[in-house]
Amino acid sequence: MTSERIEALKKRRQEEMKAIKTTDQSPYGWILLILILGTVSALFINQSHYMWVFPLGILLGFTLERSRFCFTASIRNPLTIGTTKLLQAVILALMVSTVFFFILQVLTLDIGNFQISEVPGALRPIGWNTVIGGSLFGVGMVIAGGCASGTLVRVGEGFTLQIVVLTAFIAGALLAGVFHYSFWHDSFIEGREAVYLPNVIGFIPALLLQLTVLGLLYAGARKFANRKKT
Amino acid sequence: MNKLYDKLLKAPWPYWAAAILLSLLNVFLLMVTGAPWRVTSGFLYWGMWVLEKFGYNDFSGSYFEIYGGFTGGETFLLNTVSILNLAVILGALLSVLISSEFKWRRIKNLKQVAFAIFGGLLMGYGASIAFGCNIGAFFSGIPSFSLHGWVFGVFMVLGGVIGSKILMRYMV
Repeated sequence: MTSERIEALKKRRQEEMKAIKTTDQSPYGWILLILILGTVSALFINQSHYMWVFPLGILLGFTLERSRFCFTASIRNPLTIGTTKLLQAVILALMVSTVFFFILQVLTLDIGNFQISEVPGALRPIGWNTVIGGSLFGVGMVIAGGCASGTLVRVGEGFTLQIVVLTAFIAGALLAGVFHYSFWHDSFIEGREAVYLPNVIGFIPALLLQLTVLGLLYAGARKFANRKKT
Repeated sequence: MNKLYDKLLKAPWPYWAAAILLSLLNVFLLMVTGAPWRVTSGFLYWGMWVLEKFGYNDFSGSYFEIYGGFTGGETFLLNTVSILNLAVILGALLSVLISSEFKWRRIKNLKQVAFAIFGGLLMGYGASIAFGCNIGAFFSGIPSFSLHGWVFGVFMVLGGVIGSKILMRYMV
């Protein structure tokens, strides 16, 4: 019942998208592209770091928009309308990234003699802050209709509502990251080190374990969708 | 040639292609900046910039003071993550313009606004205490082989289940 209503909403949105395809906006696109390239060369050419960050961000945003890739929908769709295509894509992306990150880490690190802080990547400790933060984030992204990256993409697409989400996101981040942070840090984070899987079970086992788990999740997602279909 | 152009720039890309591209871009970011893709700290710094403009600058004990720290020339407004966030918005804009799909989409009702504010606040708060959002903690954390990425992912999904229930009950 509800899933039918969601489907109807989706259809309506797709038709809305089609209806506005009447005027050719691509010239503005090309002008924007020239402006972007101009900005990169004018402002960032000497700061080699930004010179790469800016175009990589543009490509990330372009890819997310062009493919309608959405982390929120990847979690919400299996529960509401029973499709897992996006979920499978997210898992696939994690598998591909796992391999790339692994290669980079192995090439960078002096295996057997390195500190956690030297490992390239996002390595952070685990605590109640991870559990509570992850849960709050999960509830929030479904209710707001978009995650952190999804909100940025929607703003670019012209959604006024996502400007509200972005503002609230910033307010929430300030509340926790500035005003409440000492509480979270002192209670759960201070003194803990990240758990780096290769340190626990070895490099090759960590790679194999992670790919196996992700592979099983992928197969499970596919099976779930097929079961829903029949 | 025209067909290829339409296919590449106008038709939606398949999810699997996006999955591979996003992974590649993330590993490039890691190689170039020394840190993978992240979003939330950029939002936090924008907020701190606003606070500073209003005369508040006691940031002792904040995330920024403990884990932040800028390299030469970075500010709350302009730093690696902020530039990345701005670029993601512009990249999406570029994509909708090239495919002629841009349109200002107005807010339909107050209920939507209430959900947007509530959801946004929860996301901001949660991401700030958990070292990242669906990108920093999940999409970059898991491939980094850091266990916190998995823990975050599991609870993000659980939160998503609860959120979906709330959504189905009150929104649709």
